[in-house]
Amino acid sequence: MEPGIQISGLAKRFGHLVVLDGVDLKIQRGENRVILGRSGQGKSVMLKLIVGLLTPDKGSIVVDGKRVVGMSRRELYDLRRRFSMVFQGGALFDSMTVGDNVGLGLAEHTDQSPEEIRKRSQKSLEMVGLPDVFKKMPAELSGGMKKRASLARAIVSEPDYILYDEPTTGLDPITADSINRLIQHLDEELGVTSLVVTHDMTSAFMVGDRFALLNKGTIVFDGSSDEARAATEGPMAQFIQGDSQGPLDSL
Amino acid sequence: MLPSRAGPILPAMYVVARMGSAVLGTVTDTGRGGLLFLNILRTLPAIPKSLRLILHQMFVIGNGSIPLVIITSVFTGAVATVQAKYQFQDYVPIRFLGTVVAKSVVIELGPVLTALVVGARVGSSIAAELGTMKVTEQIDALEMMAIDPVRYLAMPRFLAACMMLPMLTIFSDSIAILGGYAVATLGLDVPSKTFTDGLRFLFDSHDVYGGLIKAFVFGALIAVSGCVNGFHARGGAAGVGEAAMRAVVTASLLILVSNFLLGAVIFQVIFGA
Repeated sequence: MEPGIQISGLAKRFGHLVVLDGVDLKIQRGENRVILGRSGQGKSVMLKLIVGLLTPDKGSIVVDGKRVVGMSRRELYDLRRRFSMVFQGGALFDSMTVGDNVGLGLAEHTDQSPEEIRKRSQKSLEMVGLPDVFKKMPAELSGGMKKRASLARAIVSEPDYILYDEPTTGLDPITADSINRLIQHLDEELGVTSLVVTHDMTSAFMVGDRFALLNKGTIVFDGSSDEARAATEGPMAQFIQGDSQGPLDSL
Repeated sequence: MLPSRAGPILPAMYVVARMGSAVLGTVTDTGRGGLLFLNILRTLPAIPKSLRLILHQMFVIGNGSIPLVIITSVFTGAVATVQAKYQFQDYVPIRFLGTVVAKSVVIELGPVLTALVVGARVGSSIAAELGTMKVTEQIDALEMMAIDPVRYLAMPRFLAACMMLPMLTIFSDSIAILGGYAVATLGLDVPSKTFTDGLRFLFDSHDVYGGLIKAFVFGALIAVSGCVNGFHARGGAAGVGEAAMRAVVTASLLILVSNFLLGAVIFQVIFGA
């Protein structure tokens, strides 16, 4: 059994729109993989396919030796308990407090007492720099705080994998930098495997050690952070430079 | 995809296409509703784990609907009394006024009108809440936490609606009869004893049970309609609004149609035998 995530021939379409068209990618355990691509190229769809939130039309996804496609609901839930996801908008449950949001997974899946859950939730919130928001409602938080709270919810269950969907989109540069540092810090401290979907190159170079570039449904670059940085021509160079002329289509 | 009105297609073809689309939509919604219902049944063994959520939903559905039910019921009972008195004229003895009001309220008006007003309030609220959760990825977040949204969101609302609708119907029946009594004695010069004797005359507990069975089914229909429309909401605010509207329309139609079918089965086949 090879640990990590192996994706091969992955295809997904919505109606007539082909989003992924034969994606092959390997993500090793402990790696911080950044998936780059322009908006609408299927980066978020790929994350959702990996954890079975969407079903592919073709191809296979294998996580730590287990095929995701065709898993029963119970098997999928067992798999997802080893994953966490930080959604683009935070996706905090707006009917409960931030503390309850963070502790919900523990309350549902463990026998821990409410006091233990409260302590662990508070500790997670402190790790992301939000020690005083336990009793606040999500609506009372700023965009950056929501992302941090979502991170706290992601790490409280001590997952093997964390999926980040555009973790810095819509944030000011200072808040975005603090989120990037937080992701770096959590990766180092918790030793998780991270998949970060983004089109923010500053964020990508801060948090990633391997890059994949998605374009027109396929991976057009797969290499290390240094290889990406050294690219002087081709799609990766164009993406890094933000050039509308080149192999990657503009509008 | 419907053909454009501006295209060279004949108007008759356009009408056929619209009808076909409506039929397909209805079949799709029915299938989704049926599947969700079966999924809710699948999660019933998890009731003990969801007890807190069920009680919370019972409070939300029941407590929040009481003012609406009071207003609807008072006027329903009042109108039923005035209309019955008017219809009786000199042909039917006034001692039957209470009988007619009680029977019409307990069998039909109480369950159906309560379901319609609670359905509008609760169905739209469920669809809007779940629809917002859907479009803001909160339902995906639940799935990512290995929490079944049907068990966590739909089943508590379903059970709460099934339990609260009969309770609200009993409450509504009582208020409506009180409203009818007040109008009869204070406004129509009907002696109190005449009205209350009429209430007792021909009283059949089967009427109450029949009304409550209907209310139970209406509760299920309201919850499933709200949940299914919420779970399949798309887009942003417009999609959530559309889901809420569809939930209310679907629930109202289902209540009216099933009221006829249930009435036929309960009062003709089961209690009529």
